[in-house]
Order: sequence, then structure tokens, then C-alpha cells
Amino acid sequence: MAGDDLRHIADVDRVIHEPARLLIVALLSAVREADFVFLQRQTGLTKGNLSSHLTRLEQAGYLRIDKGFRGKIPQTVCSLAPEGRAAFKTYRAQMRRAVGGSAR
Amino acid sequence: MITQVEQAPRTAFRYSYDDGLVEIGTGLLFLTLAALFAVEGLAPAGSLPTGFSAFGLPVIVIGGMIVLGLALRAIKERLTFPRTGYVAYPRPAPARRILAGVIGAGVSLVLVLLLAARPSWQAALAALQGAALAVVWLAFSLRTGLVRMAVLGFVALGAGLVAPFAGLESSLGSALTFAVAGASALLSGALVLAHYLRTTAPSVEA
Repeated sequence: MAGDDLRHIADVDRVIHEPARLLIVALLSAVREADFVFLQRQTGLTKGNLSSHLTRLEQAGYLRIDKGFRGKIPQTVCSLAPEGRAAFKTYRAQMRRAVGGSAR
Repeated sequence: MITQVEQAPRTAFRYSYDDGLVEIGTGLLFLTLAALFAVEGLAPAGSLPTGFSAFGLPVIVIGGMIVLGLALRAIKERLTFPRTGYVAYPRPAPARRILAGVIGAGVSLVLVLLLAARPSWQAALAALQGAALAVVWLAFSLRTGLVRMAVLGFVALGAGLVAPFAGLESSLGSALTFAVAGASALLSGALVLAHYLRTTAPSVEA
């Protein structure tokens, strides 16, 4: 029984499982969209690090990135794609089962 | 890390209150309502202002919320987004907005009918308004985890309970309740905004 629950850990989505990306996805799950400055402040990541994680999420089809300008200042706006929301929901369910299983 | 992830949605939701602008706007709206109730309460019986709240209240509440929304968005564009980033929240589903409207209208209707049936209950109107404001502030406090909103709720409740004992009934009691609730929200928002401006600076992506 515990083995079945723990097996879910091996099946978790590695794209989301990475801590920094998990935090990005968790933040974006609560909003319609947010920009780079907000994500950087909330995650505490460097610009380069955040940028590479956003690209990884975009490549996985979990994230939409719109690059534009606010006045003359560049602005990158990110939002979770429906695939990203679904993947995050699945990930949370898997982790809940795995953590609940190991706690028993 | 797990806690940080679990708290992330709440952190994102709370972000819209980090600059104190919502409280300042709400405070101004409450002070406007207080002025409306005060004019009505101080006007001689039978004069035109005595009927102000009948049509003025919906106009100020609905119009005020629309103006407030537009003003907040414009101020945040200039003040908040360049400093700590831009965030847009999902719009509530139409069914949820309709449900909120129906509940609001239902509560108002029950209140009006109760007051019409028992005019003596007008003395408790300010207390009811204070309790209603307290419930709303406490709900926001629970959702955001911001203690200052709970404090605002207790202040509004206190003002509503004090009004009848101070001999202020009906309109003047309502004026006191909304004036205290508005002033406290305005003060809280101003302090939060001052702290926010002191501790943040405009930042750019690249």
C-alpha cells in the first residue's frame, strides 16, 4: 500500500518538480498573468536563472510568455497555459498522495 | 520550500494589498457614504436631503466602485507595477458575480422590510452596518492573512456598537460608523503605502 503511494513520486512531472519552477507555477496558478519583475521579487531568483526556468516551462507548453513594452520599458508577461494548470493540479494530487502515504 | 509553495497562491492574492491603495480607496468611499448619511441626518425633517440615501446610496456604492477600480488601476500602473511588478487576477465567473449580487440585494431587501415593519429597529441599524463591515474585513483578513484587516473589522464593529449608545440613531449612527471605518481604513492604507514606497524602488527587467 505504502509502496503504491510512494511509486507516485517516481511518476511526478520533473518539469514542475524542480523547486524554482514549482514556485513559479504555484504563483502563476493564482493569477491570470504576472510580469517578470513580480516573479523575480517573489521567487528571489536572479534574472538569468528566472529567465531559463521560464523558457523551460514555455518549452514544455506550460507557460505563455508575451514580450512587450510598458511605455519604453521592456515587459515580459507570463501566464499559465491550460496544460500548465492541469499539470500543476496533477502534481499536487500526486505529492499529496505520496506525502500522505509516507506519513502513515 | 513546501510551505512557500503552499503559501504562493495566498501570497499572489495578497500582493494587491501590499501597497495600501485598496484600503485608501475603500476609506474614501466609506467617508463619502458617511458624508451622505450625515447630510441626511442633519437636514430638517421633510427637506430634500432627508431622502438622499434612498437614491444616493446605490449611486455612490456602484459608481464609487467603478471609479475606484479605474483609479486604482491607473495609480498602480504608475506606482506599483514599476516597483514590484504587474499582476492581473482572474475575473470571477459570471455565475459567481450574479450570486454575489443576488445575495447583496437579498440582504438589503430583508433589512429594508425589517426596518419598515419595526421602525424601532432603526436604532440598531448602525450596529448592523458595523457588523456587516466587520464580516467583510474579517473575510479579507482570513483570505490574505493580513491582521490589519481584522483590526479594521473590529474598529468598524466597535463604531457601529457605540453609535446607538452615543444617542446617534439611524442616519447619524450610520454616518459615525462609516466615518470611523473610513478614517481607519484611510489611515491604515496611508501607513502601508508610506512603508511600501520607503522599502521599494522602481526596477526594470533588463
